[in-house]
Amino acid sequence: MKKLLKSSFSKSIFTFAIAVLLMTIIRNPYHVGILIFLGMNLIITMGLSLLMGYAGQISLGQAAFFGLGAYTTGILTTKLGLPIITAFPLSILLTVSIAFLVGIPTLRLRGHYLAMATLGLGEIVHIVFNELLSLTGGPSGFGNIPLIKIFGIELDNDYKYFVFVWAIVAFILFLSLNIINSRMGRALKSIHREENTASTLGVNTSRLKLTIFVISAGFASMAGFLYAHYVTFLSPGTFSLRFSILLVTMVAVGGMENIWGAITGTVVLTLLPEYLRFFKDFDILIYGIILMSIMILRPEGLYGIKIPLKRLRNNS
Amino acid sequence: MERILNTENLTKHFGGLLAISNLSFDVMQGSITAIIGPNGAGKTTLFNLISGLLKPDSGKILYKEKRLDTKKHWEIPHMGIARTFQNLRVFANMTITENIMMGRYTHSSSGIFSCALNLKRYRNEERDIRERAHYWMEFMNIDSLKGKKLKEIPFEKQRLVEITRAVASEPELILLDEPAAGLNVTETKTLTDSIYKIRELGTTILIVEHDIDLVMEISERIIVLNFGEKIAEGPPKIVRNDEKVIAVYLGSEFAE
Repeated sequence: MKKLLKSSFSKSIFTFAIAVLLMTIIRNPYHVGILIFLGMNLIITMGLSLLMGYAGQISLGQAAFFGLGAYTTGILTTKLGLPIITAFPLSILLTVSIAFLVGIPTLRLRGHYLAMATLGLGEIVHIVFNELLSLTGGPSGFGNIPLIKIFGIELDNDYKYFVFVWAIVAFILFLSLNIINSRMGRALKSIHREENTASTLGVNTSRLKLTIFVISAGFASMAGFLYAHYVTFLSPGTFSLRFSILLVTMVAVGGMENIWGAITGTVVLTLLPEYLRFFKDFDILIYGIILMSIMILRPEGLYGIKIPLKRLRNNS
Repeated sequence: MERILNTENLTKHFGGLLAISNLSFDVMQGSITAIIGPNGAGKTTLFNLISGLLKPDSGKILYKEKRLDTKKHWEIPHMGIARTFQNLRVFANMTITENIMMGRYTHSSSGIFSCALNLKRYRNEERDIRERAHYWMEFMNIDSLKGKKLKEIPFEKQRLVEITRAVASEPELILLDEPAAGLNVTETKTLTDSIYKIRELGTTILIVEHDIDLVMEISERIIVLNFGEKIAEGPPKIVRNDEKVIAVYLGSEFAE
């Protein structure tokens, strides 16, 4: 039984089951909606965790990849009238190719060149969304993106979409856990620690870093695809540098040593602003204080904090 | 006996500093060859050149009569050359078993997609990697460390972990960079036994070492470097009595 729970497959199924259970308990479209966005954020940050925590590279372009996925499927389905089933692979393919082209020159270098290159890419993509009026509608965006139909069921309400998004979250978790526990995961950890040592053990470090960067961009565009067909309206504001930084923060706050850290950070930072609304105008202030306290008191991230239950019990 | 590795007129500068100067030597298959010399003689530079971390300015390095210096550094382990580092390079973010499993990287080929999808081919390979890692841990007498973390074990054992990681890649040539540095007499004895065991596998050993007693005991051939130049070469008995070597090690007045 214990061994069964340890496999990547059962962890993913378990995550999916908890999410669906949570949905049936909540039964409130607004809160279910928040959890749908949480699912999308998780898909992006799991990819980012592979890149940051395991390969030791930072990308400030995840919002751009998220946006490229969303805009590509949006434009293909509305302006060109392509079916969603064709638009889906094309949107992933386009994003992944752009990531590949940006990654080739930058990942040959050591150091944080990827952060700089993706920062630039993010701005370029943002400008294109704003200025390519005929396709993107410019700053005011465009709408009427069709809904997804799967096995004849149209995903026209939050509950159906929730199940769809979280099934994909579970699948991405399954893929990520498998990568982490494989020879590739070990090679990534070795690169993070000591790139020269990794190469003296036969790891083609630039190629592996490029692969993981491209995979993380693929995950982000997957989330973008889900976003486009959920919100059905796209405008450039969503895909700004601000969002890229927020995603990096989620991974850092949760903990970079472990993918569960990224998951913790994403859950906390996605839900926190929603519940801080209670404080009205002070919400951003309190949000800032909480973030600062976490980074000062627990710089290695939230994940793995041991709550001293035993001590509490002994004292009482 | 055939030679497995040789250099021809190898030269490497760092700015104005001549680290390796016009160096030519042969390493015979199955031998234990030591490279000695005072600090700054170019020993570690030579290892970095062989393992591809540095590129020579001129000259050649040949491994089984094939050019090595034109290869990319990550290709070199795939040709059957493993190395350890003077300043311990084990991965503190992995368990000890995982560290040894990294040594099997060159013997496995599952790509990122078969890993991600947990395909059967990958699962079989992963099981094989683990079994072989355990086998080499037993071979090197460190199987008691299974499941432990690096920070739980002493320095001496960490060095054995690094050597086992190199041995686990089943290399034909292994480069040991000061394996006895920081070890006491008993620990050095354990290390010596391990080195003999590796040699019995048929592996060629090239060793850089400061511990002269250890070098004289184990090596069949010694190459002495000083300021990047070879000043003597031969079996321990001859090198020990070489005037130039004595001058370098003890000061020139002793050579008279």
